[in-house]
Amino acid sequence: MLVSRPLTATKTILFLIIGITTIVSVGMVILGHLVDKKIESAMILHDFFTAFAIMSGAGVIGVLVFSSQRHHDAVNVIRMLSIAAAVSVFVILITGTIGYVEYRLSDPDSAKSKIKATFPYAHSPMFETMEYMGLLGTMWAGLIAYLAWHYKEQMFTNPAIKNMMVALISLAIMYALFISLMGIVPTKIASVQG
Amino acid sequence: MEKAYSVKTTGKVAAVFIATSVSILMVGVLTPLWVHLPQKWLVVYTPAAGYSGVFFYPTLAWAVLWAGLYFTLGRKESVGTVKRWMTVFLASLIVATAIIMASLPWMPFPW
Repeated sequence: MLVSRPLTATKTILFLIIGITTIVSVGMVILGHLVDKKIESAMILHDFFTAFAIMSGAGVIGVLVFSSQRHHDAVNVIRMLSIAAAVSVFVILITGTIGYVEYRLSDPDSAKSKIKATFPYAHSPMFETMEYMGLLGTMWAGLIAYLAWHYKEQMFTNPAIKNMMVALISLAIMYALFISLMGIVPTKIASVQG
Repeated sequence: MEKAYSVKTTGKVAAVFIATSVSILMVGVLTPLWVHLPQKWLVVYTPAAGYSGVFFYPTLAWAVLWAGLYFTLGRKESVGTVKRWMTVFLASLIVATAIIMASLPWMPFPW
C-alpha cells in the first residue's frame, strides 16, 4: 500500500538544489555544443554557480538565525546547503580554469590582450586578485560544510558554535562578493570567448 | 561571552581547522612565488601555467593533512577551543590575503 509522505522543506530544497543545478548544467553544456560556444557556456556556468554558492551561504545564515522549525529539519537544510556551496565552489574553480586557459592566450584577440590594451589595471591587479584569492574558496567552503555535518543540532543549541558558523559564512560571502567584483570589471571590458 | 567561546573542540574539528589554515597560508606563499619568481614545478597543467600549481599543491596539502590529522587527532575529545581555532583560521586568512594583495601591483591607483 502506498503511503503518501508530506513534502517537507528539507525535501523541497533537496529536490530544488539537485533539479535546478542539473538542468542548468546539462542544458548549458548541450547548448554550448549545439551553437559551438563551449567556452561561453562554461563561463555562464561559472557565473551561475558563483551566484548559487553565495545564495546557499545566505540561506544557511537565514536558517541559523531565523529558523523556527524543529532543529532536526533545520540541521538537514543547513547540511544540504553547505554541501551544495562546497560543490559549487569546486565547479566555479574548474569552469574558471577552463576560461582562464582561453583568457591568457597571447593571441591579440584574446580577452587578456584586449583588456590590457584598454585598461591594464583591470588585468593586473584586478583579474589576478580574482584568480588567486578565489583559490581560498575550496578549502574554506569545505571547512564550513564539515563543521555543519559535525556539529548538527549544536549549531542551534550552543551559541559559540552558532556564532562561529555565522561568522565563517558571513566572511566567506563578503570575500566572494569582493572576488566577484574583481572579475566583473575586466569581463565588462572583454569577456572570455572561444 | 568569554566563557561561551571557550567551548572545547574535538580532535576532528581541530584537524579540519589546521588543514584549512595551513592550505590557505600555502596559497598566500605560492602566489607571490609564481608572480615574482616563477618556478617550473608550479606548472602542473601547462595551459594554465603556474596558476595550476597554486591551486593544486594547497588543495592536495589540505586533503592529505586533513586525512592525516583526522586519524591522528580524531579520537581526542578535547583539542583547543572554538576561540583558539577561529583565531588560527582568521590569522591565516589575514596573512594570506595580505601577502596576495601585496604581491599584486595595487599601487599606484590608475587615476
